[in-house]
Formats: sequence, C-alpha cells, structure tokens
Amino acid sequence: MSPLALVTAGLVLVSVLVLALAVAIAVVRAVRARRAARARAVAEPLRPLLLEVAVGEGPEAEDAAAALAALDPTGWRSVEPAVLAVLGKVRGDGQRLLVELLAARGVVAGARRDLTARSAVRRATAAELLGAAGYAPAVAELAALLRDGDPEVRLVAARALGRAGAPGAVGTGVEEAPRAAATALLASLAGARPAAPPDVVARSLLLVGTPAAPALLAALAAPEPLVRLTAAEVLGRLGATTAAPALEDLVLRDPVDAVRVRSAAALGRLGVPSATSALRAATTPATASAVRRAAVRSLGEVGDPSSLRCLWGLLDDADGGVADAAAAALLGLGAPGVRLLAQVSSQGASASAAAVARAHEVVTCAVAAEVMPPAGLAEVEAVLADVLARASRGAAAEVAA
Amino acid sequence: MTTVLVADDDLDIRELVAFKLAQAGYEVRSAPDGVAALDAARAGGVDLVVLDLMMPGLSGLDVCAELRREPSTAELPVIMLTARAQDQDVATGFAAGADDYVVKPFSPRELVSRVQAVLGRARA
Amino acid sequence: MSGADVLGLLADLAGPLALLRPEPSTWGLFGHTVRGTVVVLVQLLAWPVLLYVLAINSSYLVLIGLAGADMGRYLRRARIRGVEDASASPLTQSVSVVMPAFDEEASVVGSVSAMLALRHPRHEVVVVDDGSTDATFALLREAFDLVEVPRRLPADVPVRGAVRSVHVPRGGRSPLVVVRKDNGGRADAVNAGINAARHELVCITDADSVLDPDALLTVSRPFADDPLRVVATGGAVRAVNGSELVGGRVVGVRMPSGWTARFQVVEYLRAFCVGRAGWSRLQSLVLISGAFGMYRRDVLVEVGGLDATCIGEDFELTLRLHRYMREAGRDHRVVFVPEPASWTEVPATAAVLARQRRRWQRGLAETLWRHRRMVGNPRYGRIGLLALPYYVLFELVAPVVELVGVVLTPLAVGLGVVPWEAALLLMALCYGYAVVVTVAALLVEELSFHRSQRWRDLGRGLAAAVLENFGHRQLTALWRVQGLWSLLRGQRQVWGAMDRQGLAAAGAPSQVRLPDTAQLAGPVRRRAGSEVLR
Repeated sequence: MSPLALVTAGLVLVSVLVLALAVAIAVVRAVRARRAARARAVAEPLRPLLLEVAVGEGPEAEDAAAALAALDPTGWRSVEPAVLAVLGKVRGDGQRLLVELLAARGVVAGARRDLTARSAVRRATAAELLGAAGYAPAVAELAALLRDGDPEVRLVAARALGRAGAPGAVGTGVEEAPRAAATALLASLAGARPAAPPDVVARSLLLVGTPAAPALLAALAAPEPLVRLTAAEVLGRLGATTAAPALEDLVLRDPVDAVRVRSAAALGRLGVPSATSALRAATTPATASAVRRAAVRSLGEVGDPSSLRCLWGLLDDADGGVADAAAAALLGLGAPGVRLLAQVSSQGASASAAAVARAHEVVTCAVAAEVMPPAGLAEVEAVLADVLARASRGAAAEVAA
Repeated sequence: MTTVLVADDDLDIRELVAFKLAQAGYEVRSAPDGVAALDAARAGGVDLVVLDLMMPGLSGLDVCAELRREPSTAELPVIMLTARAQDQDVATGFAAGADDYVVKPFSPRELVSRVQAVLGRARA
Repeated sequence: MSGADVLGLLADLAGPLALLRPEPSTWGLFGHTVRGTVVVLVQLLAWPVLLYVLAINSSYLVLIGLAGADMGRYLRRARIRGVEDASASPLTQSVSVVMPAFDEEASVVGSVSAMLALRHPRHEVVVVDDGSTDATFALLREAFDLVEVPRRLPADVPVRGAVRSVHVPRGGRSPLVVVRKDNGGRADAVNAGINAARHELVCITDADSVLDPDALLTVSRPFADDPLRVVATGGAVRAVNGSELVGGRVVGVRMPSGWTARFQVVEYLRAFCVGRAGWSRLQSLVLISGAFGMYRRDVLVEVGGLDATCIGEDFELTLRLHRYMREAGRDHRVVFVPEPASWTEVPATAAVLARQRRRWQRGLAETLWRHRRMVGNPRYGRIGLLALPYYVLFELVAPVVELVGVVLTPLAVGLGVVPWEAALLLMALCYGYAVVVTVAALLVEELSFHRSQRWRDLGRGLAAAVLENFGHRQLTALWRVQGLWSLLRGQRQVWGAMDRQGLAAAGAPSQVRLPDTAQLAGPVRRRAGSEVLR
C-alpha cells in the first residue's frame, strides 16, 4: 500500500464518521418533521371537536366529547397531546368535560397507575397531568408523592396539589380535597430540607385558597421556621385578617428573623390598623435590620396615622435602608405623611440634617417622576407657600430693623 | 356585527377564546403578540380587545397603555387575561387602563359574560 | 478490509511516522542549519502535538456526550417544568436586569422594551449609560418619557466612573431605571447597575442581547429550587446573526450570510451551548458569559462586584465566586440552564473578530494567573482539580500548540524533513477529528433543541463545520496567541506603574495581588457590547 493510499484511508475513516453523524442529523430532522406533519394531518380535522369540548357548553359539547371518546386508537393518539395541552387552560364545564373524556379513554386511570411507576419522569408526568386536570380524587396519592425520592417528582406533586386541591376541582371527594392538600403541602416544608421548593408550595397553597386558612393558621405555630414563614406569607396574600393577632405575635417574638420579616410583610398586606403597635415595636434599633425595614414598609401600607411620629423619628436612622423605607412609607401614607415630609425637608419641623436630606430626596424624586398623588402635591405646595411666606416675613422684619 | 380582537401568544388560548366568542355571536380577530395586537387595534373596526398580560415583545400592559395614549383607541374597551390573580397585578392592569380582567385558567362562560358586560358599559 | 490489509496498513503507517520519533543523536543539529533546527523541532514536538490534539478533541467529545445526557434529562422534563406557575408564585424571587450600554443608539430602545416585556412577575430593568457619546440616552428619554430624579445610589460595590444622574419613567409607567455615569468600561457600568438594582437577583446582560421570552423565569428557577446553595446561573448564548426578529424576540433561526459569522454560529453551539452543559453536568462550570448570567445580589455585593481592572471580567467573576464561597466554607452551586437562550450578535468581519479573540484569550490568561493558586488545588474541589487544570491545559495553551503545528508542518515538508504524504495524513486526521467533534455537537443540538428549522441551514452548518478548518481555525489560533503575547509584553511594562495604580482592584476578597495589566490595554474598552469569554 502506497503512502498516498494511506492518506486516503485516513481521510476515508474520518469522512465516514462525519457522514454518519451528518446523516443521523438529517434522519432525526426528517423523522421529526414527518411525525409532526402526520400528527397534524390527523389532529387538524378533530380540532373543532376539541375546542367545542373545551369551551364546554350545551349538548354540542357533550356530543363532541362523545365523538372524541369513540375515536379509534390512531385518531386518539394524534389528538391526545392537543387535549393535554388544552387541559389546565380552561375552568368550569370545559374542564369537567375534558377530564371526563380523559377518564373515558383511560388516561386518568393510567396516570394514577403511573404515579408509582419506576421512571421518575413518568411519575412526574402523571402527577402533572392529574394536576392540570384539577383531579380532586387524586389528592391523597399526590400528597404521598411529596415524599418521593426524586426532587423533581416532589416539585411536580407540590404544583399538582395546588390545582387538584383548588376549589372548582373535579371529581368525587372534592369537599375534603382542599384541606388535605393544604395539610400535605405544609407538611412537605417541615424537616431538615424541604421536600419541595417553598415558592412552589406557596403558590399551590394560594391556589387552594381560603379552605387552606385553618391549616395555615395552625402552621404559624409549627416548630420549623420555613413552615411558619410560608404560612405567614400565604395568609397575608389570602387576606385572612383573622390571622393578624398570631402574625403580630410572630413579628414580636419569633426567634428567626426571616419569619419576622414575612410576618411583618403579611400584616402590611392585611392592612389591619390594630397591627400598628406591634409593627411599631418591631422598628426599635435593637431589632434586626431586615425586620425593621419590613415593619417600616408595612407601617406605610397599613397607613394608620398613629405611625406618623414613629416613621418621622426613623428618617435619620443610622441604618440607611430603614431610613429609606421610612421616607417611602411616609410618602405612601398619603397627605399627612407627605405634609410631614415636606415640612422636614423645608426644615419647618425640627429634624437632623440626615432627616432633612432623606425627606428632600424622597419628595423631590416623587415630584420629578410624577408619581406623587394630587393630594400629596397640594400638601407640598402648601408647605412651600408657608415657607416662602415666613421667609419674606423674616426679610421684611430685617428691613424694618 | 361586534368585533373582538384576541391577543395571546398561546395558540390554544387564542383559539379557545375565538371559538367561544364566535359561538356567542361575535366576529373575532386574533393576534399572536403585542405588536400585532396594536397594529390590528389601530387598523380600526375593533370593538373590544381581550389582551394577555404577559406577551413577549410588547406586554399586555404596554399595549393597553399605548391604546389609551392614542385618541383613536383611547376609548376601546380592554379585558386582560392574566395568570396572576394577585391584587397588585390586577391593580397595575387597571392602572394601565384595563376595564376588566379574567384569570387563567379561564372559564369560557365567564369570559363571554364579562365581554358582554364591558361592551354594555362602553355603549351606555 | 481484511485483517491482513489492516496489519499491512499499520506497518506502512509505521514507516513515515517513524520519522517523527525523537532521535537524540540528531539533536546536535539544532541551531546549525535551518533544516537541522527543523529536524530537531519536528522530532521533539511532533508526537506531543499529535497526542495533544487527540486529547483535546477527545475531551470535547466527552463534554458533548455529557451535555447530550444532560440535555436529554432536561428535555424529558420539559413538559413538567411549569414555567407558567413560577410566573405566578408570590415567592418567585424578583430580578433586576442590568444592561450596560455604550453608544448603542441603533438598538437600545428596542432591547430595553424587549427586556421590560420578558415574562416575569417582578423584574426591573436597570440601564447604565456608560458615558455614551451618541444619542443613546436621548433616545431612551424620548421613548420612555424619562425624568431625572435626585436618587442616591448605595455604594454597595465600588464604582470608578462617577454616577451623574438617575432617571425613571414619568409617573412610574414601567419598572425602568436609567443610570448615567462617566465612562469606565463595561464591568464598571455593571457595578453601577448592581448598586442601582433593588431586587434580590441580578441578571447581567448586554444592551445588544436578545433574550427568549421565558429566559428570566427559567434561569432564576435554580435559585428557587435550591435557595441555600445556588449563587449563580448562566444561560446558553447563541449567535443571532441572520435570524429573524419580531418585537425583540427571535422567531426564525437562520444562518447568517457571511462565513465568518457562520463559523461562529457553529463554534457557539459547540462551546457555549453544548460544552457548558457538559461542564455544568460535572458541577464544575467556571464560566458564565457576560451576555447572560444571573447572580444573587447579596453575594455579588460580598465579593465586590465585577473587577473593572480585568479584561475577562465574566470569567474572573465566576472564578472569584467559586473561590470566595470555597474559602468561606460555604456549600454552593453554579448552574447552567441550556434553554431558553440569550442571542447575541457576533462579529461579522475578521478584523472585529480578531480584536475580540485577542481580548478573550488575554482575559482568560489574566484571570487564570490571578487565581493561579486555585489551579490544581484540592481545596477548591472539582474546580481546582478538574476545571481549571483543563482550562490551563486546553484553553490557554491550545492556540500555541496549534500555531506550532501550523507553522512547523509546511516548514518540515518544504525542507524535506517529513514526506508530504505523512504530513497530509496527520493534518487530515487532526482536523478530521475536529470536524467529527463539531458535527457531534450539531447532532446533540438537533436531538435536543433544534432551534434551526431549515434544511438549507443544516447544509450550511455542516459546511461550516468542515470549512472552518481551512483558515478560520488557524487565524483564530494566531489571534489568540497575539492576545497572550500582548499580555506578556504588557505585564513587563506595567510593573513600574503598579504603585501608582494603587491596585484598587475592586474589592477582591482574597488578596489577589497582580499587576494591573488592564491599564495597558489602551483606553478603557469603548464598547459595552457582547463579550463572551470562552
């Protein structure tokens, strides 16, 4: 064999590899395109039927659902992805019909079986489907999945519980579902490491809504800080004013700062004036900085006039973040707060230089950005006019002297 | 005939809303993103817009604010579709000039009744 | 081919290759004649170079394999990821997107609108106008109805260029803040942006980058999944040239028309999409590109932000984060999210590309030098023992080795030291292996995200995988060596200037002292454009 043939042989080897890979790419692409086209061709004519079911009203929807339920296996295989895609996008009768359709085709039963499948992806996919279906009877099984070994499966289970436990979920046993879901979700946060990401759990608890409130209230006394923290956050967002006393207690006494921060924020969202004294107490310098900031922000949100003096005193706080939050809170308090800020900034009220600078910054920023409400603007103008009048009186007095 | 413009980047939602509204006797146009929605609304002949809050390119809030800024579309009723049911988001939606909102996953029947109510108010 | 044929082939192969065997008896020829010198060099270097090339390509192949496994896992879970839900969670962490801009009048308004419209429940956009000399700010002011506010920014991380003013949209219409400052380079602008950022996560990007609509949600997802450990995440970076954009989002992926850009499309796929996924799988991702990275703001503040004195500031920051967390004994993770992506405009001309590659290589070398204590140090875990030695061996040295091969081979053939057939065979094998690697990366992309749809573009991609070996690769090696050279030259000059500069290297926590070489790179980098270090 000549050296030239050797060169050729080497090149052939490499080229064969490259060609094989290139052909693989082309085959993958072609197969994907073919499959998509074929699925479209079968599914396209069935699309109106699917839409009819999903918007779900009257005998037409029932007929359409019956037609889809009677499809031959090939037709169903092509339309199933579209059904699953629509699932979870509608509520009401459409959702119920879709779930009934899936149940009739054995998809729901298959998913429930898959919840214990060996493959983690299959377990998660099944949980996702039951969640999207808002299938209340599966709540207990989904709750069990929160103890799964795979973190992704637990995450999906937590998400699915929110939907399956939400009011308006379908299936039997609906009455018990929300409370069971809420309890399981909160329990998943207990333990050394949470079973599911807290933000996902919180979102699901919010979806469950008011039926979760008793479990959430009880969770405020849980030994795990993460449970207390999440319960506080969700109660605030649910507007559960009955939780206010317990939240006040947490703001003042919880050993974990993060819990105190969330509780303070929740009180601000609830907006109950009775929380003002607890929030004020949480602004004292001995408290952790993050807690103070949250308490100050919430004082602004609650908007009780009794917090004016407290916020004023914080304008020159050594902690810049607290001082900033106090200025912003005063701005948020509306006319009385703005009046106070304007007075401080024009040195009409006795205040330190730092307080004057802070008040000046927040007022001028708000005016320049035109985010100051009209009532506030009127206050600023009134104070300025007052200052000008006093200045000119002073000047007149000087001239007279 | 009353014409409703549906803007959502999710094809399923667009088709579902269009299907339901067509069933309820409206003429429906649809737009896959904020820019297309704005163009369609400006072109005229639209009586109400159903607007997804989170669309890439121009969000529903941007589109709504833009519609309000222009005299020709300032009075055009807008219903927001949103996956976020939190009070502050709803508040920003109203601040941007939305007339009503519907939470996703949505109930088609509720959507139709809101469309009717908003159109009724707009005509009154 | 029969067994005997194979044996015969191997025997024949041994002939010409034997010439390349080290032969100490001839080493005395070195320096006597040109031919003698080349003979010695070939005998000394041929085998090491050959093995090196085989090793580097094999390592790429391993990374691609790892990435393939990782992406498979990621894709199987695509349906269960629940991005929609994350967008509605009350506990989804809020994000400040920091966009440095220098003379970006052509695109700035479009990119800011697109950033504001990204899917996320609570994100703000912080644009830092780094002393632009064109209409960048005027256009922003007009488009977003900006008004100046007397807001003072906290000095959480040091900033060199003075902040001149802060602007927000009138009436608080959109969550946008524009900071104007004196020119100080991209890193300095980002630092000013970090100070202005009010949310707990900071996403660093470029004024000319285009993000996929779900990019913020998915890239912030790891922070929520593992809140105690994840400190930074990086997204995939793709080349946008030629693609179709509507309303600030990529709707049709196309191959660009010029070959310079096409080579880079393939290169980005190989290195930034597939390669990084491989590193992430090994839990040793040491590079988050400046075009798309997300960080916990508190950690950024702790480490002192980006180092404005360093050219490869992205690489330096990621490395410093690793180092800081390790030295503080804090368990941490840096995660790569392969999809969705950030799209960036790559240089379309060789001249601009040359500048970029010189910078990258220089930044790489500078950063590795600065953190040389980590290299091979078991204290830094996989980063110290695996990732950094790899970077030194295969990223830092690679262009030098390649250039040696490229120069020596024709010389040796020309002087008759090596028969041309043997040289051609070896070259073909080396570059052929490289093509195999690139096409394997293309296959992983096709199996996973297949963002490009057109058959024509597939052909172009395959062609680019082959053609990049005829010129582009060699030129790139040359540019990278030039980058190294400029660093070496610069370093010697700068020792004297060291004290004057006072080594104000922005708060590197670990007392890394190094001559301030960046000062010599001429004026501070003018353009705050897309800088993605390999």
